[in-house]
Amino acid sequence: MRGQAHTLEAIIAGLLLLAAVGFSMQMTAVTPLSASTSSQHIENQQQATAQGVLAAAADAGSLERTILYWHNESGNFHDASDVGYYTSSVPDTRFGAMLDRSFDSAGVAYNVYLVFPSESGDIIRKRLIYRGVPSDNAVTASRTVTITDQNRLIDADGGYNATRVTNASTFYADDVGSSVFTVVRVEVVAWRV
Amino acid sequence: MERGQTTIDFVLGVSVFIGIIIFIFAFVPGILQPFAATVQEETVLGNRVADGLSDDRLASPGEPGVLDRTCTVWFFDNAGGPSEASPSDCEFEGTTFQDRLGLADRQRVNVTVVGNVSTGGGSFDALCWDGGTDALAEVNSGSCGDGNDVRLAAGPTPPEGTTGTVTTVRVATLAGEDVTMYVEAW
Repeated sequence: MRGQAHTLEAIIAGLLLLAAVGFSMQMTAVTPLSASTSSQHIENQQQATAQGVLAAAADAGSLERTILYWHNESGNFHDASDVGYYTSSVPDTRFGAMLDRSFDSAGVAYNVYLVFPSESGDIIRKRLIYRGVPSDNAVTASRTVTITDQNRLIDADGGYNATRVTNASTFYADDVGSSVFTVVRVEVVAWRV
Repeated sequence: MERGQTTIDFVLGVSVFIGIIIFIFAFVPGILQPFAATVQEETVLGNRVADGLSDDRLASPGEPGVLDRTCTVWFFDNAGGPSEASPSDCEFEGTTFQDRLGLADRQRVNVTVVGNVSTGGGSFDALCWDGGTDALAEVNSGSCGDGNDVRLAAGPTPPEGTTGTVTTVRVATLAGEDVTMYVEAW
């Protein structure tokens, strides 16, 4: 019996060493700059890309045109899905093409929200493009666009419609100003899949 | 044999113990690996240079992300050549490429502008400024070989091999087209 006790002692000593290593593993972690899909450097690049895309679209005037890419008769965006926003496709505007070029080819998923005030003062957050619930490591970039009473809706092919935004009966935003129709903030949320 | 301890028991116990010791000596140094500093300086450098170029030096600080056409073409045209004073109406100043980006001599940076200006294409290609048509053109479309065409890339070629490089991405707009700027630092 004493012989087997020596063996047992060796095995228990080995298990004790392994337990000590396992305990010390709790203190190590993945640092923010470790190579993974949630690395801080990659998140910074995604945010800068989203901001650059918004700046490029605003400079080309495409942000405003995408906000007004509304089909008044059906009460929905042109070629959007039945739920009221784009899911697998993008609006056929330059902003949509820029998003597709910058994000879809890099394996980055994104949501685009339109944030504007309602007549009663609440803030409404409407989905323009929705690709799912963002992950824990998502980044946001936003840009504000002003819509005036004189703006017209945009047709599916990109041309101006005859309807002004104040006369559009099914438009999603309310007229909340005197000469300004509303102020819309375009938010792009991007995350790596 | 009176002690009741057999050879088999001894071999079993000692081999288990030695095996665990060897495993620990091989494995424990690896848990410090996330804390080993790799490309710390290049990450910060790449971000600083990319932000400086897209928001400040090639654009005007009032309109970040909108690159000035003349200054951008001048910047890439004179990036490899001898030292020359920068134009006074451009936001960058300095006489050489390293100077204009505020780099020390040992810091290497490569700036490339890619985009998609051809209709129907979906991929990114390196761009150049076609002096003949005064527009952006893709390098592999064949219209970039003239003398007054400026290749929108600057800086030394990134090294092959085991040197770690950090790539930074920015999106900006140049002459009405959205372009992507890659800054590689090592």
